[in-house]
Amino acid sequence: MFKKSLVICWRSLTETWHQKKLVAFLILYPLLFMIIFGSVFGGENFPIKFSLAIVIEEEDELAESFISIFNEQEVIEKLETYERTNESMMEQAKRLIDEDFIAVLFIPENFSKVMFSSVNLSVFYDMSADMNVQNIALGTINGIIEAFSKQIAEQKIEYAKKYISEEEAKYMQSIAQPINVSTSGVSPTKREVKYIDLLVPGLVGMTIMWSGVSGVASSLVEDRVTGIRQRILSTPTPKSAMLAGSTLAYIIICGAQVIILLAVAVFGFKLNIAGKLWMVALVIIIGMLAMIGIGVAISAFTKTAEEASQLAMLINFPMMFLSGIFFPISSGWMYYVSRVFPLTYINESLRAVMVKGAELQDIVLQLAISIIFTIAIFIIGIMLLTRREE
Amino acid sequence: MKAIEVQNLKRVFDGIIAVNDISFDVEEGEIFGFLGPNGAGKTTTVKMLTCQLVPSEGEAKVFGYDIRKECNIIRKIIGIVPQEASLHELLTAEQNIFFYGMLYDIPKKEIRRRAEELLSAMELSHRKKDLVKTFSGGMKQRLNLILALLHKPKLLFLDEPTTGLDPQARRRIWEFIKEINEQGTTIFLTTHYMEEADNLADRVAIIDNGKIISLGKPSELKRKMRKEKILEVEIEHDERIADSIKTVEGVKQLTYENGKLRIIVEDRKGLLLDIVRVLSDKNIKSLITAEPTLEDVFIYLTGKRLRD
Repeated sequence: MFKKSLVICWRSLTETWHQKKLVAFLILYPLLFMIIFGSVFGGENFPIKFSLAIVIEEEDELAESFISIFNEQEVIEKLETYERTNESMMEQAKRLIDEDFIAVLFIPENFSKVMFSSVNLSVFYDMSADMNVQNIALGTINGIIEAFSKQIAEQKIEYAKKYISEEEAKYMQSIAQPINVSTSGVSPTKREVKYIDLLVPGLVGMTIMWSGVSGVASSLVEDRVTGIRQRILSTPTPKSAMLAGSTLAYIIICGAQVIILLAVAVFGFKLNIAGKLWMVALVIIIGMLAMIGIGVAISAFTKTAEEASQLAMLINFPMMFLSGIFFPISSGWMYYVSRVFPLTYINESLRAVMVKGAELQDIVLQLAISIIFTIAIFIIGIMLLTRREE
Repeated sequence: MKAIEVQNLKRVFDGIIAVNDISFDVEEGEIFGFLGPNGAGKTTTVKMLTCQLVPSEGEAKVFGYDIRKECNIIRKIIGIVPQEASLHELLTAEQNIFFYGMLYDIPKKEIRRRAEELLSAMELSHRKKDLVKTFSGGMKQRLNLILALLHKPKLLFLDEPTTGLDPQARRRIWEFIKEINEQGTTIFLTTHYMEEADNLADRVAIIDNGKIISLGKPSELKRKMRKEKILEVEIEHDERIADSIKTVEGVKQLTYENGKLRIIVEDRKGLLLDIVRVLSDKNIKSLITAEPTLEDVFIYLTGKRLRD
């Protein structure tokens, strides 16, 4: 049985090899995908950076030292200071945001009076910007203001200590800073996470989906239409060996595509794989089996190779967009729809392993669902095929 | 021992009876012809006898092995040349042979030896490294034969082995089939070419609408028509001629093909004259009497031609 599976697998691989154009397409597909997506999205880095405009009404020492804190921030890629104009704050802010600043901070003229009373700062931000950028910009600005006001409070208490007792000073400090928070942004790995790292697991998922579902379905139907399946089954070869052999051949072909894709990503676009390679391989192989299972079921449903590839298309397109290949789906009705597709769980596990370096126990649920789906779809496919051939 | 024993075999597809209660035996060592038009039930019968299809009713044995229970053994002792040239077009001839050799559990050395032997016997040695998709129809069919013979089957099923081949390629295949048979392989041949059955088969079963309507040696079948004669008239055809000839007493069947009317008539004195009289105002190019062929037998028995 095992030897015959290998013979069947050898046959599929040799036939593929003899179709030079097909081989070229199979290689070009992951290559092109990686290069196109990598070039379009590869430049966008994490953490996200933003540009900030600071409008000062009146320059003084304190304002300068305040601005210098902003200058030290790596997250701010561009910082410019402007003088206050005659326009209203809103108008000036709008104009600066039109000039592509994400946020505008207004420092009032009596800023140095902060040592004796309180002052109001105004922050305007671009609501049309990417949500992540908005959050990072506001978070950074508020964080700096908070840290600065804490510093001022401490200086004031230090000054007041001349007149009050230690106990009273502590109490005053608690009024100024009832809670101290320290927040730090941490990347999941030592190196920073880039968009490419999030994208590649999705592209891998897409590759195994297309090759697995449509490739397997149409080649199985083709064998039935040409009578080759019947001929092979008229020799002492069990059906299980045929299925195992075809499956193995697709794992090898599709595996080669995935390896090409990953190689281009690692060497061409500096993809960083955080997790263990054997776990990446494990998730990919389970994913391939799930997709091949869908292909087998499709082949049982259709009469011709064209029909099979159409039906595969009908399943692949929604699966491609609703299983989180390009963007993670975390809410709304789409979330519930996405839970139907096995590729969702494969994508989640793959992302977890490749981006966050997840361990086996972190993705055990997703893998279990994928394996159960795979077994179920294979059983359904085999039952349909058997019923058809009786 | 009988090569094949069939008793009351029946196969129904969605209420349509493809094979209707047929019984026959095939002797070891003979070429058995299964002659009938397309859709008569020939391929369905072959599929049942080769364990590719389960019969709806009835029993059959291949060299004593039950086709319902002992398929594992049957598959090893039979060879099949399927109707469609189901070859791996994207493999070379040699790779096709290797593939099926491995599936028949033949050791690699033995496969190589058999391949050489059969390739040269079928005159394909010079093309063994070429992809099958570059082969002509005749070459494909010869490779088809090789694949079915690799494991030295005791019984070879040939399902329409020469359909779609030109006359020259067809004759070549016939020669090969005879050679294979002479080396001791029993052959079960289905065909809708009466010349093929006439030429090759030791015995012929004529099948129509899923039923065997006649079975025997070709000469015996033709002798069934010893009371009949065949007239071949070369003439320009129109419907009225056929109708008027049919009114002549003693005319049994009439077909028109390739510019010739083929008339099966009773052996009656004066009949020829009656026919000539009907055709008196037509331009008769030639008129000959002929020996009945299996095609005539088929027409005689069913009232229709083998090929439609």
